[in-house]
Amino acid sequence: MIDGEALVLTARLAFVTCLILITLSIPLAAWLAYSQRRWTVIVEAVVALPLVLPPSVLGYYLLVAMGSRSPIGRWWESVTGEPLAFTFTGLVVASVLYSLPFAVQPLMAAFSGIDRRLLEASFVLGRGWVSTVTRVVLPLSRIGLVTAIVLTFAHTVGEFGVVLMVGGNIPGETRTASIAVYDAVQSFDDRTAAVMSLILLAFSAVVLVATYALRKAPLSVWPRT
Amino acid sequence: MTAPLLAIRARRHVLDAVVDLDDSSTVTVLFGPSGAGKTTLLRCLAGLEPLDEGTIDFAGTRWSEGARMVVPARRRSVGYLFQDHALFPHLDVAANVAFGLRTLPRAERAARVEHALGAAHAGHLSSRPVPQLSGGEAQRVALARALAPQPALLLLDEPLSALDAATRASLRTELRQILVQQRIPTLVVTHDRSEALALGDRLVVLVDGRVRQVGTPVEVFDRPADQVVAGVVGVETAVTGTVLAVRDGVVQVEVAGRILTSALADDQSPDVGAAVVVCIRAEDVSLQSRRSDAVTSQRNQLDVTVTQVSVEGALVRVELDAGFRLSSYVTRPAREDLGIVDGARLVATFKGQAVHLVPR
Repeated sequence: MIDGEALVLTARLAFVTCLILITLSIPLAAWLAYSQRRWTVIVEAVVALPLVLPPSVLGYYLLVAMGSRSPIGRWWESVTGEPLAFTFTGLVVASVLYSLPFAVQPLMAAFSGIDRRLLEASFVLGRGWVSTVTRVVLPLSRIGLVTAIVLTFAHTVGEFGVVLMVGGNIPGETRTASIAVYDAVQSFDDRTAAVMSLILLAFSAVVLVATYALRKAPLSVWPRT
Repeated sequence: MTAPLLAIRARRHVLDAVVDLDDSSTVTVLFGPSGAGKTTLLRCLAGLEPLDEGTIDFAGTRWSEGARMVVPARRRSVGYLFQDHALFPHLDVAANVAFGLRTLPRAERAARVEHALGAAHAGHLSSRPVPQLSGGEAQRVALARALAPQPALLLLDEPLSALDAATRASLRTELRQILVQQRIPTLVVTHDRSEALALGDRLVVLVDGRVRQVGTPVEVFDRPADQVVAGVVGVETAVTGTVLAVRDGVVQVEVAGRILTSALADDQSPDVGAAVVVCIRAEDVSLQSRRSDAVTSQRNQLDVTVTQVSVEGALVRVELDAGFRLSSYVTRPAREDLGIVDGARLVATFKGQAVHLVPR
């Protein structure tokens, strides 16, 4: 009735994706928010691409790139001895790319909202970029950071098209909760479909309420009036 | 000649400034109207903005060369006081002051924070959260934060402008004392006359991105180099006249049919017949009801008519028609005693030393 294996796998995927994405997105978002170079808009557009691209299209390209006929897929296989497509690792790579805008955009918005003079004060006081981001930018972007984590986690949990294309439906390896729902409907297992759907619905609702509640909290105490 | 401590050849947007400072004076004031490029110059010095062209050298080291930051902001050892403090709101006062002390051993850090807060007269604020500070307190903390790493150069951007009038007045004198005690070469940007006079050993007048005059504050305010500087430093009366005679250290100038006497300054040698701008500060002009007989040759007496009276703070500013427009500041009791109202006829007197001639 409840596909526990799929739920655990989904949670694991979301957690790992989240961890990788936040680590990648902090420097990327800082660069996009503070760089004066014009061509950052191109990078910004590429980062936002998964928002508008049909998941099946993104999934198709990822599958091609990860497949044993592509240089990337072959390289991965020669290094690790395992294929990338239809594995948990492949799923993580796909999720990271698919959820990238959900991590980068809230962080970028939070970073851009910080008074530029605070960064300048940090530089003049002898700090470089890394120290300035960790000591000034991140502590003042807590809401943005939490929003990014919550959205990335939730979006990965809700992923379907990309997962199906890249991972297929291998129990314990690539079958996530949303795939389990689809699978249950296909095999006329209405009860499992209903229970799993309800769990995902409840999870999404809680996440959204928490996110909106956070946004109502005071965002910044700077500048003072 | 030895190289100056700070040599600036800065071109950026409207800025085209050449400034050389040696270490003989502690506090240099960059004075000029808004938009003169003062803050831009300060930011270029701190390494927060690149130059378009030119160089900045400090103590024999090249800091900036054109758009290239030879030494980045974080390695310039500059203390920068931002106009609205820019304190980190997520850190308390002590952590703000300690922010620039990362390279110090932990034990030394606390002592340095305490010392810097003490120097800025803010020792009692140490554990306060930043959002709870008043404007004046925030300014002291920001100053302590800038002083704590013992910078080689201190840059203050309109240090008192974000404060209310009362705090500004009390902090002005105090700030001068603190800066003198620290003995760190300091550049202060301001457009406020009293701030410039109270803080500076030296004044650099910047107008439209160019340096127009360099001198002690008193020199610049009393003897502006030209009409533009006279306007910027706020000389109330600046009218054109013609030199009639120069003898015995006295210059006689004709202005709108009146003859004025000016004491000849050491650096002046006006030609007879030359056109000059006559500058007279309102605070040097006193008013009386009738002419006095005991006047020296260096004292001017003019019959005037009051055209406008306005209260400016503790003083009353009186606009006068002396054949040309003349201004005077009087106290409120003096206004009562002399019966100063529109149309009143009075006598304006001022010393020859108060009449400053600027070549046209």
